[in-house]
Order: sequence, then structure tokens, then C-alpha cells
Amino acid sequence: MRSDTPTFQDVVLSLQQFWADRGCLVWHPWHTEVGAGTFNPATFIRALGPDPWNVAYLEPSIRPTDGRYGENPYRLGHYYQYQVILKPSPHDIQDQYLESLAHIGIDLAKHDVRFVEDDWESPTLGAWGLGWEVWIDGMEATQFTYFQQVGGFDLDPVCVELTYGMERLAMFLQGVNSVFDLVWVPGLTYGDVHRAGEAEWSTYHFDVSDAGALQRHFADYERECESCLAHGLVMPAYDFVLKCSHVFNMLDARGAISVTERTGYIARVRNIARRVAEVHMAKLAEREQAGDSPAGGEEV
Amino acid sequence: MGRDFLLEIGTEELPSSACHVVLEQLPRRVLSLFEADDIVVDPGNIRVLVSPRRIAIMVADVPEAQTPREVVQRGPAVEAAFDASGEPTPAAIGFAKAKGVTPTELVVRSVEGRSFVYYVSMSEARPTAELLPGLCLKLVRDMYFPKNMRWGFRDLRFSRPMRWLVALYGAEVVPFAIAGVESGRMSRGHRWLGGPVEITEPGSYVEALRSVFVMVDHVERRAYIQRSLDELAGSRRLRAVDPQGKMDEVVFLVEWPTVLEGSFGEQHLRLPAEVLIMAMQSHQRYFPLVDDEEALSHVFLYVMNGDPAHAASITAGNERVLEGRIEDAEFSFDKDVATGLEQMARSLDRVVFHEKIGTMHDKTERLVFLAHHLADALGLEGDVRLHLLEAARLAKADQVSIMVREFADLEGTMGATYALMEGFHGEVAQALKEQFLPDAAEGELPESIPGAVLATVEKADNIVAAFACGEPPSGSKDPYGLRRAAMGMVTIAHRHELRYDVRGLIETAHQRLEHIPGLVPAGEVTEAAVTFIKERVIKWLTDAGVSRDTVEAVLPTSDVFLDIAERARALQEFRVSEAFEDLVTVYTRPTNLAKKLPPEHAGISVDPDLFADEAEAALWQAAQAVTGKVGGLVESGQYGEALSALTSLRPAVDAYFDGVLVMAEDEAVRNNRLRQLAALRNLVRVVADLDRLQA
Repeated sequence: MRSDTPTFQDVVLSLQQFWADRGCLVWHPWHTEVGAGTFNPATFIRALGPDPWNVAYLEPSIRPTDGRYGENPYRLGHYYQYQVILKPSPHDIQDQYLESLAHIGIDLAKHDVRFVEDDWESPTLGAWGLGWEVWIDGMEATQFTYFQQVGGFDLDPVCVELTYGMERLAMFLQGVNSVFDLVWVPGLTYGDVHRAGEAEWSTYHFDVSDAGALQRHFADYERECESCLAHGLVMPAYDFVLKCSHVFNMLDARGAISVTERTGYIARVRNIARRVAEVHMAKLAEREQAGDSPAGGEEV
Repeated sequence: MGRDFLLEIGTEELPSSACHVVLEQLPRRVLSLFEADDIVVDPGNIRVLVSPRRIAIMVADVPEAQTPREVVQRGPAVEAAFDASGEPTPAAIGFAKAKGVTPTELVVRSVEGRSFVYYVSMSEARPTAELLPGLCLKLVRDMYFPKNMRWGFRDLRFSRPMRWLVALYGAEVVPFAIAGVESGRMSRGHRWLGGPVEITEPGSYVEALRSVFVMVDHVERRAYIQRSLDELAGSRRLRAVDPQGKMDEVVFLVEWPTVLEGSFGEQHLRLPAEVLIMAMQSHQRYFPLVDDEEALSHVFLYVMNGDPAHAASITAGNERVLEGRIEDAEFSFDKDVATGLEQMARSLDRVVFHEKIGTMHDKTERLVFLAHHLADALGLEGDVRLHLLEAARLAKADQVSIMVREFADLEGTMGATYALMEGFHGEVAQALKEQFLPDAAEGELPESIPGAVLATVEKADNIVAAFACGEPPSGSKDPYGLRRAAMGMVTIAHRHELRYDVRGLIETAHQRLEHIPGLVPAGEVTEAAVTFIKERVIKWLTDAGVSRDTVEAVLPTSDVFLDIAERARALQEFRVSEAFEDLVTVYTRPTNLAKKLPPEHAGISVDPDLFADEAEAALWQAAQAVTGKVGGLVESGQYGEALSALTSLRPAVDAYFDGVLVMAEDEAVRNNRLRQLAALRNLVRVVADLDRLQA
């Protein structure tokens, strides 16, 4: 690796700095397993309602079905997304995004960067948006989405979500063909940090986990969520949505869910996610009535 | 002489589907908006150009002003407007005064027999420049896209956020604003290669954009890309292919296209071509290359939007991505190979086919059972039969392969590939691959007999399953593509001359579902499914030039597709022959009279002892002879001859009606006569139901 080639860590720090400089609050990974940065309450909860909100964070995304025992250089059951939420979506957001690529060391004029239609939908979160996958020389580097709905609610104002695939970006910058060969810091590779975990988690998710126990957990978490909602506790209720979602993903990886059951599970998660959004929106409305109106957003 | 008009709506990158809709609909909308404002433009002067970041509307020679329109205002009726001497009454004078004219300027016109006085004037011809801002606003605000979004605080809905507007009438800016964007004359060039560009007048738009590396005319872009693809492929004596139709997307993914050549490791050619083509086309939108024998090359072409000066490193990046996708697929492929088809087939009980009727394992058992049935019906023996049954047993195995779980379109193809690798006979593999054919209207058909039979039973099972689950196609809803499946059964039978009784096949298919509770009752399922499939025969034969009523006349006479076709063609031919009139005579009067036969007598046979007239006996004897003859001819498929044979009854029928009073007083005699006529009708209906023919 050339001395000016950024390490994995450099890329992360450089994005943190870039978005912090543009007024984003630098948030941190959530304490519960999530399948994507979108599930972090810094996105799901904060995208709702009228308050401006600019946030950036790295999120380990846990996708049990994508694990390949650490044998496949392109697939991971645990990988990193860098997530940025800007509400309302700024008028120059595409330019800001492209500057962030330049900031991490991509010379845009020398590459073929394209915005390729890709509409996004999360059936479990009752969320959808329109946007693109951003290509750099044919590589999908970022999911770029204007959120239209979250938890079944229309967003007003609309926020934009940028999700950088950190491993791919770093592989592109370092010119390596296996994720495990990424230099995290000089002397330590991504493989040194994560390969053993990938193998163990794959074994656990595919071959060892106790489907019966997981099914019970799902039901318990779902009940706890309902109980939190009955007490108007949005944040704890939402964490139980995340736990349900993760348990569902584990059951899916274990092959314990038939096609029919699958639809049912997704509907159950979506249902509690929607109810969390409802209670949260009701609280926001109460706040507004009490005269504690939010800061007005800037014209964009 | 008018001025040219230009509206460029600058956007963030539009989806290709939105671009296609815009091109299809916008020219007409532009014309109607100009028409609504009484600005007369030549439809041939309207051009819509679309690139990823802009929709441009150009209208040449837009007149300076509206075309004045006649404005007609109605006054009093003629009889109230003029007195006996023809002088205007106070009513007419008042009306004229209200309009600011004298009564002599009013005119009389008749509408629907009533005459009124009218004040007719020409509308003011407002200058076009005054009207264009409103027109532009409407164009942007009411733009139709299949899918819309909002952004920021904006209420405007658009395909993607709108970021700039250029609006010119001649050299002048058409001033208007929407969603926080004001119109002007500054456009934007290619994201990296070009910068902002001033558009001085509509006529220079295309060239001004070219100067900032935007080939804005999509037709030109497409032609340029196609030419480059052909040239580059030709120089290697190869041909660029686009099985997934990616050109339609690529044209709207680039503003300054350069076609480049890339390659992947030749060692990957061990993978099925379909897998490699999927990797190249599905996500990457590359164009695979094939040689004269359709063999895939490890070289491919792709269309870049970047700076040609950096082509080498951009290609290297694209190659790395493709290599990654292929290696990922290869990883799954090798895992599948290690698992093996037999092991996959054993795990089919984990995959649900339909929640009401069970798993893929259950479906496989049905396919094997149906394959046996159809093989018996068709008299298939030896290797063909063995290969068919082997293929039926393995038909769904690849549903649990990693490859098919990731690329659903590869079902069948992967099964075939793995089967060949495991040493199954080529015909087994071919049948696995062909089971889903035809996969499009008028698509390719199975080539092999095992493939044709497996494809037939696969479709029959899908149709029966859907009907049994209460999910038959209705109206525009056909989520399982069953109309195509039924048509596939018909065309496959025709192509391979498969003579089987479709009712028998459907009833057999249903037997295997009968034990499952909660389904639609058996009688309804098979009847509806057979009718549904036979409706496709009507379409198939009418498409082939047989008149619809002819097909409908023979449809009830047979449940074998090929047989129906032969009967229809024979009848079609017979209908234009002179003998047809004889057949109508033989059929029509007996049929009309036979309707008077009390239903309870329908099953009783004719009693010659009740004949009271010689003509009755004569017809009886003639009919006996013809019945035997027609039976034999139908048996051997000689339908034209069978129809001719029926006409030989005409003299006997004529003589009968000359001499016999059918509606005799004696009830027994009368009913016997009606039974004889009904028998004659039924005899004709063995070949065709002439009631269904239009005169």
C-alpha cells in the first residue's frame, strides 16, 4: 500500500470530520443489533416530525443471512455503514455528497461517478424513499435516498439519507480484492479484526442457534414493546422493535421460517414499528399544542 | 414569423423509466397547453429531448401572439328583440348598450331552431411572451411521472428534485419560478467534464450543451452508443448482445457516452453463460459479447460517462467490480456443486410452494405422477420416458440452490447445469431447463420431448393449483401468468404433436389435491380449469386465421388440442364449399324441432315400430348408415369427409319434411319423431355444433 493510501480507519475518521464540519451531530452506533444504519433511532425516530436534524454515524450492520463463515471475500454478516441524515434535505446535497468523496481521497474527475436509480424500501420499518445507488467506476458505493415515509408517516420536511458502504469504499481506495485484506491501521487488517468473528457468527447463525428459544424471544420482545407503548415509552418500545427485527433475521438465517411465516413475521415487526411512530408523533403533536414549537427549518 | 421556445428542466438524475414516460407523453401535453392558450404551433415543431439531468422542450416558430377567437354572447330571442316593423325593441337596445355597441352591430343566429340576437366579437390577441410564464409553470407543475417524490420543504412532486430552469422565448428569458427555482438562461454541463453554460437562444441549445459535454438528444446518444458497440464488437469478430434490454436504461444513464472494452478472467467461462450474463447485465448493465456460434466471450463492452482520458483506470475499476460479482457467484456455485442435486431434492420439503397446498416436495411428487400419466397417454417408452421421469423428480431441486435463491431468473438453468456436471443424461438436463418454456408470449418452446412433457405438466399443475386455491386469473389480474402457461400448453402440444386429453390431464392433476382440506370443490376446479385452457385454443386458432365461431363450433366436440384444430380447419374449409348448405339443411330443421322434445324423453332411443310414414323409416335407415360412417371417419380424423358424409342425408331429410307431420296428434308417435330428429342433431354435433356458427 502506498503511504498516501488511506487506511480503513482514515476513511472513517475522514467522513466523521467532513460531516461534523458541515454541522452534523456525530452520533454513535446503537447498543442493539441493527440490520442497517436506518434502524438506529437517530434515523428512524428523528426522521419523523418537523425538527431539523443533521446527524452522522458509523453503524455496524448485522445481517446473519449474509454471513459466509469468513470464506467469501465479498460477503459479511457484520459490516459497516456510514450513515448521514440531513433534514430538511439541502438543495446542494448531491454536491455535498460528491465533496465528501473527494474528501476521502477520490479524484472525481478521474472516475465515472453516476447516480443510478434505486428506490429504497424497508417493509419492516414501513419506510420508503426514492433515490439512487451511487456508482464509482461501476461499484455501488453509496445508497442515496430521499425518505418519503417512515413508520407509515409522510415526512415533512423530507430528509435525505446517505449510506456509505465502508468496506467497498476502502477496498476501492486501497485497490484490494478481498475485504479481509483491507488495512485497518498499519500492521492490522480487517481480517485480523473480524475474520474469526465472521466464522463464529456464521456457524452460530446457520448451524447452532436454538430456533425454539429465538421464537420465544420474538414473542417476549413483541409483548415488552406493547407494554412500553401502553406506558407511552417510545425509546424503550423502539428498542424492542429492533430486538424483534434482529431475532427475525436470526431465525431467517437458521432456515426456521417458511415463506408464509416470513410475511407474517415482517408484518408483526412493521406493526409495532408503526405503533412506535404513532406514539412518537402523538407526543410531538402534544408538544406543539403546549406551545413548545420546534425551531423552524431553513429554506432550501 | 415566430420565435423559438425552449424550456429546460434541470434535475438530479432521473430514472430511465421516468425518461421513457416523458418522451411518450410530453409532446402531446405541450401541444395541448399551447392550444389551450390559443397559441398556434405546428405539432411537428415540438421536440422533447431527455438526458439523465434534464428534460428539454423545444418548440420552433411560436407565433408572437394568440390567434384571436370568436367570442359569442347571446342576447334576447329574435321575436323579443325586434318589433313588428323590424325596429330593435328596448330589450335589444339594452343588450347592445350593455356590450358597448349599437343594435345594428348585433347579429341574428339560429341554434337548434331558435333564433337569438348575438353580440359577436373577437378575443384580444395577447402577446405570447405574456402567456409563456403561466404555460411553463403548468408544464413543470403538472408533469406526469410513474413515481413521484418530494424534497426539503417543497410541495412540488417530481420524479427527482428539480434544481434549475432555463426558459427562453427567442433570446428573451421567460420569467417564472417554482419550488424555489427561478428561470434563467444558465444551464449546466456534464458533472465533471463541463461547467455552467449560457444558452443565448433556443436554436443554439443542442450545440451549447455539446460544448459542455452533454449529448442532449437521446436519439443521437442511442445511435452513437449502438454504433460504437457494433464497431468495437465487430473489430473482434464478435457481436454485442443485450438479452435484458439494458440499452433502454443505459441511454438515460449517460450524458457523454464512451463505449469501452473490459474483460474478466477467462477461467470463469466454466460457469454457465447465463450466470455470467446475469452478472454483467443485471447490476452492471454491461453488454456481453458472443461469437458466431453464440459462445460467450470473456470480453465485454460497457458505456462510460466519465472522462475518456481516464478510460484505462475506469475500465480497471469496472473489471474489478465484475470480477467480484463473478467470484461471488462462483463461490455460491461451488457450494451448490458440493451439495449436489440429489441432496437439494431431498430438502424441498423446507420450501413452500403455496401455503394452502404444501411444499416443493409435494409439488415434485405431483409432477412425477403427472409425467407418468402423460407418458402413458402419449405412449412414451424407453429412454425418453426414463429421462422425463428423472427430470420430473429433479425439476424443483435447484429451488434450494444458493444460485437460484440469489438469482431467481436462473431457475431451471442451474438445475440443468448441475445435472450435466453430475453426469445425468443431456436430455434430463435439457428438460430441467425447458420446463419453464415458453417464458414469454410467443417465446421459445421446449426442443426435447421430455422438456415438452415436463413443461406441460408443470403448467397444468400450476393452473390446477391456482384454481383449487381460489386464485384463478381474473380481468387484468394474472399474478401467476396462467394465461401464458395455458397458451404454452397449447403451443407445445402443437409443436411436438402431443395428442392428449386435456380434461384427463387436469382431472389427474386434481386427484393429487383432493385430500387437502379448505380448497375449492373438485367439480368447480376441473371444469373451470379445462374451460380456461380451452379458451386459449380459441385465441391460438383465431390468431392462426380460423374464424372464431368456427372454433367455438368444434370446441365442445373434443378435449384434444390438435384434434380441435383439425376439426376447426375442416369446418372452416367446408363452410365455403357448396355442400355446406346441405349440411345446414340436414341440421337446422331437425334441431329446431328437437327442442320441443320433453326433457324426460331425451334418453330414450328411437322405436322403429312407432314409424307411421315411409319417409321416417327411410331417414332412419339412411341415418343408421351415415352414423356408422361418420363414426369411422371421426375416429380416423377425417373431419372434412365426415361433414360430407352428413350432407348425404339431405335427400332423406327433404323427403321426410315433405311427407311427415312431425307434431302428430298421437303423443307416442310425436315424441318418437322428435327423438329421431334429436338423434340426427346429435349425429351432426359429433363433428361440430352448428348452432355456434354465425350466419
